[in-house]
Amino acid sequence: MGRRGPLKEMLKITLCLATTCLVAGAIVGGVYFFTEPARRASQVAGEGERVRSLLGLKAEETVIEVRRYGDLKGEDFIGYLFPESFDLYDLEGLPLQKIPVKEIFQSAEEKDRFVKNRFPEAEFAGRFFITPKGYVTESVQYGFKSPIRIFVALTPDFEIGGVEVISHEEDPGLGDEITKPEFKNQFLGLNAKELQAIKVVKGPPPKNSKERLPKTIYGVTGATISSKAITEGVQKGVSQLRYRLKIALPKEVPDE
Amino acid sequence: MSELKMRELLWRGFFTENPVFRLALSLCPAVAVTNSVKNGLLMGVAVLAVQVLSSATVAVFKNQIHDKVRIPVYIIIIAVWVTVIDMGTAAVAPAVYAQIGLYIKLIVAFAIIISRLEVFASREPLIPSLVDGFGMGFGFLFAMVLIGSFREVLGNGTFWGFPLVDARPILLFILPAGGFFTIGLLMAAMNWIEGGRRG
Repeated sequence: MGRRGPLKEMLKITLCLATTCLVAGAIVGGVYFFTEPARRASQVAGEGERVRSLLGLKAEETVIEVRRYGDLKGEDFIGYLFPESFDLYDLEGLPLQKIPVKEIFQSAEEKDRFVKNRFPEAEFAGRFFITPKGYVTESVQYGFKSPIRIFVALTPDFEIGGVEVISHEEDPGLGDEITKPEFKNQFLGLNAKELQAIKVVKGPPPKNSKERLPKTIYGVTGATISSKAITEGVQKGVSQLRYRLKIALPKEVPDE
Repeated sequence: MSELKMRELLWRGFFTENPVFRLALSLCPAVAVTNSVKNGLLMGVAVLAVQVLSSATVAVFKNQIHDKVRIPVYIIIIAVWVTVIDMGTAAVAPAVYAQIGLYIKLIVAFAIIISRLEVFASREPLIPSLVDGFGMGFGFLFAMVLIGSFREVLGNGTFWGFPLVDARPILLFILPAGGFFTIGLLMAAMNWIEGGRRG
């Protein structure tokens, strides 16, 4: 082997790795391009279905999605996008202006585009759903290693009507037990005050329901972090929804 | 390749060189997900698919893969298949994805897959590599279902979610430590069976 030997070897290795990565990237990119629209469509459909089943809505009862946008770099406002208007409030929650909406939006992307066209600095900052039987709010809380997205349903009197885990990456067999009804149903019927006082203890709950402690959520065995994350997510979701409704729809919120 | 050798290859992955009970590979995920039969089965199916596809890919391209960087290349191949299967199931079968989505992503880090690529697929032609992939995949699936059944019945008193006994189950078997106990016990049982077979 001459002096060129090692150099040639290095080139070969680089070429091999670079080609592999390029091909791998192209394959993954291609598959993403073709599968992503279908995945997103099924996700949106699944979310709509989740909202309806959480509150037991009938087919003719409509669900309104309200998206919230924050603009802290340009104009300093928090905006709530309703079907007929985009309502802007200052950071104290006092009304600034109502921008009428003439378009009928088909998707979340179209709503984001509508807002971005007028306020390029505005960022999506949470959403909730209004239905004839109550509200559903989305809450994101960090779990064992990645964010957990949940829907919390509230009756018009602000009692919890259901909790649903929308997406998570907790470990199968341990953290993913948070999606089971045995865990989620512990939140049913709690009001806002009870919810803030609640604490999480290690599961499993006692078999005899009379032995259960009050104001307690029994965590999933082996997944205390995930159980706490859901509990905090529910607490956060409810207090955020109350705050947001007080600003955007003050007539609708019952007193604490 | 003769039919006899094929059968031996399959049997090797299934029993004599079973990835979990004999090679003791991928014990970590095996313990993590096998607290019920269903979890074990779904994980096993996902591993089987990735193993067969990765083995085939390496067997086809083995002459193009530079020897010094073969391990990173294997990892990229496994990661591509895992990602493709992940995105594909999410788009085509959302209901199935809701069940197995979590398991698929874990497979990138499975020692058993990369070890089969290194030991077998990088040296043998396509067909034997495929058979080896199938054998090892099924062996893993079999082990996962066996461990899952054992742990679910003892630790939770159920099988596939259906209640079996109305006694207080031994919670330890659902927890990770119980997983290792189970694997140890099943390994011992397999040794005993094999010893008996030899006479």
